[in-house]
Amino acid sequence: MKTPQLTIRMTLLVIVAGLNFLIAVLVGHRVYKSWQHYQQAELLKSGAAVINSLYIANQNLSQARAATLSTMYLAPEVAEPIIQDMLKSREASNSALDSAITAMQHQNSADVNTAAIKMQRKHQQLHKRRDEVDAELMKPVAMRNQDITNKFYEENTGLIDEIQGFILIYSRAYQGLDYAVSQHVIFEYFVWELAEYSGEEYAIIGQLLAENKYPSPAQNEKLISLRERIEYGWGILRKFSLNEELAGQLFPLMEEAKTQYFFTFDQVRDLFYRNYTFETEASYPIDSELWLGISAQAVDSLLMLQNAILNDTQQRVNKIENDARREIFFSALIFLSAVLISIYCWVIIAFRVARPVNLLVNALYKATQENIFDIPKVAYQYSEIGKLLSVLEVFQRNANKMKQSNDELERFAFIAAHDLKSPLRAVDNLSQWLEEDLGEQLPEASKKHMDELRKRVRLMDKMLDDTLEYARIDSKIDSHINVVVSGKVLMDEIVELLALPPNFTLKVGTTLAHLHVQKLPLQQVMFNLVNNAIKHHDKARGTIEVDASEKATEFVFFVRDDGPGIDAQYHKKIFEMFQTLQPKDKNKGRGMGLAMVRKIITANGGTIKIESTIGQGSLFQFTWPK
Amino acid sequence: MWIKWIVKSVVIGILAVYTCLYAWADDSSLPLYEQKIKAGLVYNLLKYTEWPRLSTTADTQNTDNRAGETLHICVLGDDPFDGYLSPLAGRTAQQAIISIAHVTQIQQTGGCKVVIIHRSQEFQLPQLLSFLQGKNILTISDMTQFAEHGGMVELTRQNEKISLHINTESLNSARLAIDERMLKLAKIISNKKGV
Repeated sequence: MKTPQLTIRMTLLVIVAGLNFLIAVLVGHRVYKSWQHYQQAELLKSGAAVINSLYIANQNLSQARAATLSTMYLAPEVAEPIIQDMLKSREASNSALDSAITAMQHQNSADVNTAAIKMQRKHQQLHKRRDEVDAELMKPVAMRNQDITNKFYEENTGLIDEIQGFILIYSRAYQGLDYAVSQHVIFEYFVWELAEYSGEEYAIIGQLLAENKYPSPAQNEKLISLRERIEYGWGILRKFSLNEELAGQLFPLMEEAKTQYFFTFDQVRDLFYRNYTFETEASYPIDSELWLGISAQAVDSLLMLQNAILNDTQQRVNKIENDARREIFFSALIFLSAVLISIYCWVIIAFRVARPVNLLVNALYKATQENIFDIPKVAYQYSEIGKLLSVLEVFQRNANKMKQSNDELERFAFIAAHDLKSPLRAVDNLSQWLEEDLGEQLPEASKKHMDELRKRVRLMDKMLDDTLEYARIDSKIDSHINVVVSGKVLMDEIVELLALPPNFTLKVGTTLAHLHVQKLPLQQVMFNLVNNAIKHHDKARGTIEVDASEKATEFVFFVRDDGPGIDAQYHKKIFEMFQTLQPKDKNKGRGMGLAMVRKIITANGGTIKIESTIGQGSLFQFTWPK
Repeated sequence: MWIKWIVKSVVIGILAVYTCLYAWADDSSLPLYEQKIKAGLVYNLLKYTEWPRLSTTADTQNTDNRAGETLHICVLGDDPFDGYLSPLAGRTAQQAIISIAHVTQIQQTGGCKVVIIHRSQEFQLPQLLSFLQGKNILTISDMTQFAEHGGMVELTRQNEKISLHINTESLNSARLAIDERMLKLAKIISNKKGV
């Protein structure tokens, strides 16, 4: 027989494990999302750092370019401070570019790689030009080759454009990660464009002022083109400034940079935007040094604005990273707490509920099967299960007492029945001897009395046998030697034992016929009931029906007869020992059949009841656990 | 022949008129450029001058203290910049809003941070500077030797080029400071002895 106790424990543990799994999935999902945010933030941070370095490289390249152009017209002794600035800018641009390239080595895509290689190549070429420029700077101003300046200018500008183009390609990957940051990247881009175009504009004008020349048509065209781009760039920045969330504290800086730009560059634009190219010598009211100084300040304001944007971007990225880090920390904390709570719940359920329940069930099962009740040792004796065990312990003590008492009673009944049989046999023997000794002297009436005496002695002897048998009913039938038979076989054997009288029919229902049951002691119950029905039948013909139905945990058996029926007032009495509805001498039985039936059924965990009305037969219905 | 003469005359005439017009335009527009450039320099001075109450220079990111302040510029006498300074009104420098007022008397410059003195006021320069002595007011003028006489910033012409003269002694006595970047572009002037 399959033991049911595992089901309780497993059910509890499966429920707890299921809940734990659900919590783990939900919280784990949150942790996963947090981790994704964190990774995105890290990606954004590294991307922003690369872009930052590239802009710093560009700023320094631009400053180095401006310084180089300025120094080409100055004597070495005058130009020394500017040369120092130029060298610092070169160094800073090299270092910023190197750090950008190192930082992005881990995350390159194919097109980024190609652009990076191109950028590096241009940087190498610029190094050569720088060497040429340095050689020129050693010569007197009049001896310097302007072609080298122009080539340097073109290559320096080419590298700046390459870096700017690279930033555009590189920043694409980061633009989808955060709206504000991606907008800032675009903002930075246009500010840089402005600074760069302004730088070009200021360099061309500076050159014209230094040489006291009017712009050539090409220069004029370039200046007009630069001015158009610059005005377009300011138009874009104006749109940014309308977004309070994005521009925020950058707005005042931007306005001032714009004012400074226009108040510097617009003051001189009329000098050049005139269509007279036939004059070669010009006279300007401002010298190149003053111009370069104030226009550099205007460009510086733009670079300062760009630095402010870069700082703001960096702060936003840092905030995103910190938020992501905090999120992942709290998610991990929640996850860890959930795991710990789950483990705690699991341990509580396993050790304080499931295990004690299991022990309890096993103990009870063992008690029912082997009649051995060992109180399981439970860690928490004052928990509900601990208390239940102590209650069961009391029940068990009572049961033991009762069993002891029953055993004693049984022993008493057995001894009494056994010991009483000897005097009875003696009375029987003595009455025979007395009758033999007296012979013919014994009056007829006394002979009858003697017969009656012996009849009563035999009755009592049978009653003692019945008592002995009744007392033995509790003895357990070993299930190993008990065979399982079908209902049909069971009833066939009963019919054989009964020697069914003629004109009596025993109908066995199909359900019963197909049932498979343990033979003993069910056969004795059915035998007694059917035998009872035949024995107490008041007609020459009779029909007895037996059948059964099957329920989840038990069988229900029916024995119906069409005999005289039993008055409702005797429905309890008939199940007591030695109870007959007629005097025993007139009766065909000694009133033990139904008593034994009831005792067998209750001893096996079933119940019996009767439905009967005088003249309408009787229906005995009893249950039998599976 | 007469047709040829007429054509030649017309061409020469046109060229002559054009040349005259061009020469006129070129000569007359030169001073205008100068005023515009000077006006631009004034804005740079506003950005890179440190006033005691404007606690930090324009380069710093600390904007909290200056936002909402007003930077009053007073122009005493005629406008030396021929109106090219006017577009600055309402704009900001060091995040302070620029306002421009034209005053006729030096006593009206009480709330000003900058006083621009037209060269026509040269006759009363000592009185003007004496009145402004000890006040945190930046003085700018287009009169020659303004800086030598104790003025702070002089925007004049030397050899047909704009020159920037700054008297750092006057700045110090007014507890003002101009950023190194501007000083580098200027000729530093000391007070003339006896001034």
